[in-house]
Amino acid sequence: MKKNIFILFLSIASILSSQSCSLQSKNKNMKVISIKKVVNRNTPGYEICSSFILKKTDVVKYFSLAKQVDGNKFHSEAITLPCKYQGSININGNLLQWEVNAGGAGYLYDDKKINKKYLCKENCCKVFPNLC
Amino acid sequence: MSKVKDGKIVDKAVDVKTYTSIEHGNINKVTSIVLHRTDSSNASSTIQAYANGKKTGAHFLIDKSGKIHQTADMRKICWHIGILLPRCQVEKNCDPKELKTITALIHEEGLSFGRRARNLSRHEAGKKYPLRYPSNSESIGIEVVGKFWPSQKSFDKPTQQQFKSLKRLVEIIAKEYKLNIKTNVYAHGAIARKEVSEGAQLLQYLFSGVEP
Repeated sequence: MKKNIFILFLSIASILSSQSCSLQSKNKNMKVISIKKVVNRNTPGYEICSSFILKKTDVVKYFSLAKQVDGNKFHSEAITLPCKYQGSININGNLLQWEVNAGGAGYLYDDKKINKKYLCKENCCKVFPNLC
Repeated sequence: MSKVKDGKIVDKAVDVKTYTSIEHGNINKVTSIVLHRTDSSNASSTIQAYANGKKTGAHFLIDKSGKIHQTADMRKICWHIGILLPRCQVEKNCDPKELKTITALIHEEGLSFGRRARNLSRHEAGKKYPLRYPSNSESIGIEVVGKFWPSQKSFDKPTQQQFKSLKRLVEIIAKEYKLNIKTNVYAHGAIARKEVSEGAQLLQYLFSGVEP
């Protein structure tokens, strides 16, 4: 019995450790170059934006944890609120633009072909409950 | 000459294949039409998602070629609106008591931003149309294929064929349900918590007859 509990403990610790390593390795390849808050004052409810705060380290965490989805899913589920942060980010040597909306939706894109969409779900929601 | 029979358009330009996964209960009365963009570059990915059991979707889908697909019975409710904006606040005509309620809901402490927007949308849904923007239970949704480009803050410009098909489709639906196109057709981005530009080019074309 004791042996089984020990094996179970080791397995859980190993899974958690591998997830943490994977996240750390993802984080290492991302560097937020710039960050700016944008508020659309023409949309009702923009006053809530004063309590929406993201730092550069949060942006790295967001793009490590948020789920990349296709346009169909994004179109159905994304909530776009009048506040977002945006800027540029270096990922694996590629300079991209990024946006994270207070409704939990995110974009990574460039001027050419890259056009990735993200939703904050599960693990992302645990770290950023405000975005879910 | 087209006609509507049993919630379906009978017209050689309309390909009818409905998906029960996106149909949810009956519409009592159609009051409005809402114009959407798919955020995809072709119709097949949307149709495939419906075939795979996706629950959200709209009654019609217009491909880049202008082909019209009817994907749900017009007598059925489709979940295509999402989170409603408060109409009286957008149009700046709320009475003071209502404005206070809206403000309280959007500032409710201890809730995520999305949850507050959902609660406010639920409050809106309790009003009668046209005091609020159209909801799923009374509107026909039209999806027009086109991707959103965050770098430009806009969707693909609809093709000439898409504009023509949209006009024809909206005229058929408006005639069937006796809707005034000028007052009962909406761009999704103007009524819900979505990208503001969603459906704007389509509505502009319907109103002006000129491609934006």
